[in-house]
Amino acid sequence: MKRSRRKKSGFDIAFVIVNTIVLTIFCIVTLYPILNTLAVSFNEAVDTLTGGIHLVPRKFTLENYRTVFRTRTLMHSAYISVLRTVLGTLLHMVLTSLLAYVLSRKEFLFNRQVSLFYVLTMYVSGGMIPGLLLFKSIGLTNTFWVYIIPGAISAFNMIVIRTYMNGLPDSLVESAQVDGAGHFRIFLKIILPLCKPVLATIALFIAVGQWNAWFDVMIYNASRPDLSTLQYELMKLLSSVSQQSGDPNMAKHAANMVTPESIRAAATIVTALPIVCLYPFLQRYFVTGLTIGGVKE
Amino acid sequence: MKKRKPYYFIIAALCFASVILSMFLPYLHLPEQEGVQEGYAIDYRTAALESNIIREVAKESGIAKSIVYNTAKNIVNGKDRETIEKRLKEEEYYIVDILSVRMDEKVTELERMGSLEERTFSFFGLIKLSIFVITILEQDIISAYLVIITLIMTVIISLVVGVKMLTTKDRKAYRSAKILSLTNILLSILGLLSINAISIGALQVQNFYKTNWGIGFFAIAVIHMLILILAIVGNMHEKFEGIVTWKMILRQKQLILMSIPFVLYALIFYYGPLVGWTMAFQNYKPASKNGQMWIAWEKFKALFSDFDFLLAFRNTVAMSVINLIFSFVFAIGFALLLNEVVNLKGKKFIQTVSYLPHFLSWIIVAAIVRNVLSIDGGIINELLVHWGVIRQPINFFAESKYFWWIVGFAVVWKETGWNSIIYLASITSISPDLYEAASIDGAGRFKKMIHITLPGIKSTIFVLLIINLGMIMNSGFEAQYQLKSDLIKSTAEVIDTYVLKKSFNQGADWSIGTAAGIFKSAISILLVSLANRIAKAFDQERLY
Repeated sequence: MKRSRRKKSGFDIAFVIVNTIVLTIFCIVTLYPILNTLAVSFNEAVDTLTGGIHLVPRKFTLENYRTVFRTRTLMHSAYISVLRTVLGTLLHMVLTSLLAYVLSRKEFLFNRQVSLFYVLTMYVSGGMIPGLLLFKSIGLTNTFWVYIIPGAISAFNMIVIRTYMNGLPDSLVESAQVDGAGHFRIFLKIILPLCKPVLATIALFIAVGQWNAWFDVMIYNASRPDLSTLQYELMKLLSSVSQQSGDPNMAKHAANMVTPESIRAAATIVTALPIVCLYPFLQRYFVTGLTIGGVKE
Repeated sequence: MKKRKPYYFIIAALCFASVILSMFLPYLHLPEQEGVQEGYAIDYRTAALESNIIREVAKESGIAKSIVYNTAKNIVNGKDRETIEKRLKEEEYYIVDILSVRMDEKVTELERMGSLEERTFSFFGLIKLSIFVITILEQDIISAYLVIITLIMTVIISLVVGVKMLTTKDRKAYRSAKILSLTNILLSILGLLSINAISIGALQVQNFYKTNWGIGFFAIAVIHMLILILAIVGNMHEKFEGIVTWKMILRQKQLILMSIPFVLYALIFYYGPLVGWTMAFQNYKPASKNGQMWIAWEKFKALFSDFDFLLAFRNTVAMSVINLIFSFVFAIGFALLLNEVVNLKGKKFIQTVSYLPHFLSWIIVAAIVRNVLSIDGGIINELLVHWGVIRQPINFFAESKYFWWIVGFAVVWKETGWNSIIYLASITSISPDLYEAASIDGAGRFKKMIHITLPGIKSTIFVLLIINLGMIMNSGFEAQYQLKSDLIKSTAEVIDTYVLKKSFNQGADWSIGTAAGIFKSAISILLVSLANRIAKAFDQERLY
């Protein structure tokens, strides 16, 4: 240790300094737009229009958030978003990990066939319209279930979980089988608890995907405003560029000294917040989980 | 006892299914429909009546659709002008002329589509052969029996092969079984080709425009495809070492039972939509009651002559390549630099920050990008003007030349941290001895980074690169959809947004959208399998 410190050359010091600067810039570039939105969301709406808000709000107010939380459509869509995130993640985890378990059993005769059957789905997809027609014909469109059933099993996640399960010692399952346990029991009592890291990772992926989804709302449930999600509402809010006068809601906001721009900023923060608060706690899981699922050295 | 996988049972079962299906073929394409003459054929004029001419004329003239339709029907039925005009008001007379001109145009178009001479492709003479057979014999029966003959051959060979392969232990018999199964594959290919040729030939000879005729063939084609895939897979799998017994199957009935719902799920939700690919070969009308019109490859031709689609194709590839290069350079650079941070807390902080944008939806990211690049008060414009790089703020979203780079940098902003995870993980697996040895040799931090860390993650980079090359047709879709505007659609449209536009905007054409989707899938599969081959050749972990 001492030796290497003594050997530090001028070039090395310069490198460390440059590195620090580059990474600092990286952090600033990453954080600035988000903090800027945050600042705008806490700033008084009329004051924002004069421009020049960067990182700190000039005139602090909670009015923007109050307006967002008072908008019934936004709150209802938030409820739908939470519901689909929770239910969708649960169903996905249960089904995909069960499939992974079945396919991780080496004694299973049709192991390769079923695996291939699923792996192929990663590369061949019917496409948008055929999918839409199918969901329509089995009565999934314009229901809540179209958010969670069609994506409930994913081949990629199955492979990730299966790879992890394959790493567990076979003797665990074998000894349980000798004791007379069935596959469901082994899966629930022995395998699942051991797969916690990889399951946490996948669950995070799925939850993020569910929370951020908007396309399925647009395609399948456009005629059901009561099934709209927060992201989709946000998208509509963002794309309605200054239609202040035409929109009765916005006119009402104007009376409260709230502009569309500020509403958008507040809604963006509200939409982003749950996931942003969640991920740092799962970080250690997804870093290890991703490495398992990804390319192996 | 060693086990053997019973592929050929499945193949044989599928063959039986297809035979049974083809028995019903004659019934499948003899729909009793109104307006259908001589069993299944229909004349072009009636077909023209079903086209969008009525709607267009009604829209242009402002006359009710039912009146226009009845007028058109009278024209088709060859009523004389007086009778036709009797039902119209005087100021509406002019639509009779418009309608007859338009209908004539449509009929010419339909005739062109149906005419034999203009076809350039030949399917190795099979079409000519099938046309010959069809014109001599009664078409529907002979086509069905042609298919049946191929299928029966396949079944017999499959069964022989299956039984032989499953029961034999001696090498000679195994080899002959192998040869037979190869013949099986060949026959499957032939069967597929003949199905295709027959359907096209029939289409041309009999002017099929309004029958359910294609469905039966398509179903059989799909089954044949499955047979083909299974046969190939079965051939690739060379480890036939033992015999499958009922006892083995019974012993693991729980696992088999557990897997059945999953197979059904995939069949419905992943393979079900594939049936919809038939749409690409039809002139699909959502509300059509009389079944769809089969038009073979016309929609694909239309697709490739559509300049918008070619632009979308170019943009997809261009943006993929830009995103690929950017995400690699930035993620690797970031991982290397982050690895050199000594302060653990600082490292952890930077990491956490870098993952943040990955969790934001593209809706939010697009809004942020628009804000940052905004012409009034966007930070980029402000800084560029402040530093004197530009005099006037640039309106980034008004000129098409910026769009690819905007998407590229948006992806970099969103995903750099996330993509670096895998490189960071692979850096940790580099042996510390190497660094120590380098330190003793007097290498500094920078030198160690270049000469040890970077080579250490070379294989990871390589594998990821190949995987991503396979994904080049998927340039992402959400980013472009959220960021594009009509001003810059010449560079912003990608295949996915093109499909969306074609399918849901005015004059929705689901067939062409589906055709574009099929084209994309085909290229993707080709690229992925190519990438897989390359990865395998370099002895790396395969994708599947």
